[in-house]
Amino acid sequence: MSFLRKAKEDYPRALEALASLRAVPPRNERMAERARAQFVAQVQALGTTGYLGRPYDGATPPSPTGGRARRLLGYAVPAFLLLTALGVSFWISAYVAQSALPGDLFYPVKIAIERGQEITSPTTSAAIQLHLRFAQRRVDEILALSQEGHYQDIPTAVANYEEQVRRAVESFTAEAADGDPAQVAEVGAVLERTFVAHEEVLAAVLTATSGEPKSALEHALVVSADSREAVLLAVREHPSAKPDEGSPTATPSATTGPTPENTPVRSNSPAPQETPVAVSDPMPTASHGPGDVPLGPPEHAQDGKPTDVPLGPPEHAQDDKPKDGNPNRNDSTPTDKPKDSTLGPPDHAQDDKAKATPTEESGKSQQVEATATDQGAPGKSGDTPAADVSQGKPSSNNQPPVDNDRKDKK
Amino acid sequence: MSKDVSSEERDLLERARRLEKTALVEIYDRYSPELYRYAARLLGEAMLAEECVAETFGGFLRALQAGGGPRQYLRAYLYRTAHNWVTDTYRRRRLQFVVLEPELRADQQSDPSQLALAQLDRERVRAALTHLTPDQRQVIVLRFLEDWENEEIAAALGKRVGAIKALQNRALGALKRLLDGEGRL
Repeated sequence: MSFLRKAKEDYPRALEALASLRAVPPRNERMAERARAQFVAQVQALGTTGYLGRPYDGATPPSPTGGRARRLLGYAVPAFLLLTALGVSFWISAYVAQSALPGDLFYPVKIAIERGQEITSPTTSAAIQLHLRFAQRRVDEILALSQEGHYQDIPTAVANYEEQVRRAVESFTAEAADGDPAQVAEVGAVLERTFVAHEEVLAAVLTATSGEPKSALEHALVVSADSREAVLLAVREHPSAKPDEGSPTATPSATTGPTPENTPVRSNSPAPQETPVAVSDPMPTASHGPGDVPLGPPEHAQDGKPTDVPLGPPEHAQDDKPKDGNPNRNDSTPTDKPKDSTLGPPDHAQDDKAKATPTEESGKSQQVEATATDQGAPGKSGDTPAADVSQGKPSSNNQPPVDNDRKDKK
Repeated sequence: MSKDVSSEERDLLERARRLEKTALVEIYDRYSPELYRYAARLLGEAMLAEECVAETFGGFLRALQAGGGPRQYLRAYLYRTAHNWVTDTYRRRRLQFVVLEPELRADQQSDPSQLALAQLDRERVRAALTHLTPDQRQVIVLRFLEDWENEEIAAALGKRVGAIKALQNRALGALKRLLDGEGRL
C-alpha cells in the first residue's frame, strides 16, 4: 500500500489520466451474444473430435506434444494402410499365381516368386530340392496344358523345365565334387529317378501332341536323358568312389535287400509279407531318408495338380521304397531291373552283388535296348503305366521317344 | 486473487485442458466481460474490443487442442493473450490513433461538449500508452485499471514482485513525461 500511496503522490496526473480510462461504455448485448454463440460453436466442433482426432473420453489431458504426435500419426496411418494394401495384393497375387499356367496373366508372377526362392535358398542341397520341385511343376504344367488343349503354350513350360533341370544338375555336380559319397550317391539316385519320371510324363504328352510342341517335348526328353547321364557321371567320378570301383556307390545298401531271385515276380496284387519290396506301389510313399531331395510325384499333391495323372509312372520309378527304410532295396525289384541295366556301369556288371540287386545305373543300357526293341511297336511308347503294370512291364519302358532320339543322335 | 478463487480457477483450467465443453463455456462467461473491458479501455473501440475477446478465446481453444495453453494461471494467460493482441493492434494502427499536440489541447476549452473533451483526453492517454513498452503498459493497466495485486501480476508475467514494482515505477514516470509533453507522442 505504501507503494501505491507513493505512486499517487509522485504521479498524480498520470494516475488521473489512467483513471479516465476506467469508464467503459456498456457492452453491446447483441454483439456480446453473437460473440458467445460463435465461441460455443467452436467448442461444439471441438467436442466432436478430441485429442489426436479421437472422440475425447475426458480421461487424460492432451499431451504437450500432442501436435507433433498428431502430425506423425497423420503420416504413419496412411503409410501403414499403404503397406498393408501392398502386402495383401502381393499375397493374393502369389496365391493366384500358384495355379497359373503358361499363357496366364499371373504366370510371370509365379516364375518370379520361384526365382526369388532360388536366390534365397541357403544351401546347394536346398537349391537342388527347389530345382527339382520347380521342374516337377513344369511337368505338371505341361500335362495340364496338354489336357486343356493349350498346345501353343507348352514350349514355354518346356523351356522352363529344361532350365530347372539344367540348374539342378549344375548344382548337383558342384556339390558332388566334394560331398559325402553316400549322400552324393543317394541324391544322384533321387535325381535320376525324378528325371525318369519326368521323361515318362513328357513322353506320354508327346504322343498326344504334334507340331512345335512336339519338337519342344522331344528336346526336353533329350535334355532330361542327358541330365541323367551327367548325374551318373558325377556320381561315378566322385573322388571317393573311384578307388572302390567294385562297390556300387549309387546303391550302397543294395546287398541287404532281397535278390530278384527271391522276388521273382512283380505283382500289383497285395504284397506278400516275405517280399515287401516286390510290391508295385503305384503311389509315392514316405521320404527318402537323410539328405532327402523331395521327389517329383509329391508335387502333384502339393500343387493341386492332377494327381491321377493318366500317365502316372513317376511312382514306379522313384517310389518303390522299401518299407524298412532301406533306400535302395526297391532297386532290387524286377520292376527296375531292365531300366537299371541301361544305366549300370560296366564294373557293376562284374559285381555279384550288383547283379543280384541291379541299381538305377545298371538299368540304363538295358533300357536303351528295351526301348530299341519297342520301336517296332509304336503303340507301346504311349502305353499308360497302368497298362504296363497289368502286363507286368516296368513303366520306365515307356520312353521310346527319348531313346529313339538319343539313338539317332548317337 | 483470493485462495478460493485460485483453487476454483485451477479446477476450471484442469477441466478445460480435458476439453470439457461446459468448462470452456464457463470460462468464457466468466472472463469475457472483464477481458472486453480491458480491451475496450486500451483500444477505445467496442468493435475492436469484441474482436480482441473473440481472438483471445479462439487462440485459447486452439492452444488447448494442440496440447498447449495455460498450465497454472488461466486468467493471467487470457489477459496476456488479449494484451498481445492489443499490442499487435497498436503496431498496425499506430498512425490511426489520435495524437493530440500540446497546442491543440488549449482548443479543448472552447469545445462546448464536455463529453467530447473527455473522449479526447482518453485518446491522448491511450496514445501515451502505446509509447510504453508492452510490459510497462500491461503492468500499469493491470495494476491501476484492473486492480490486480502485484503478486498476481508477477505470476502473470513470470516475474518477481520487486521487478513488477520497478516496472510500475518506470511506467508511471514515462507516462507522466508523455502526458506533460516531455516525451514525444
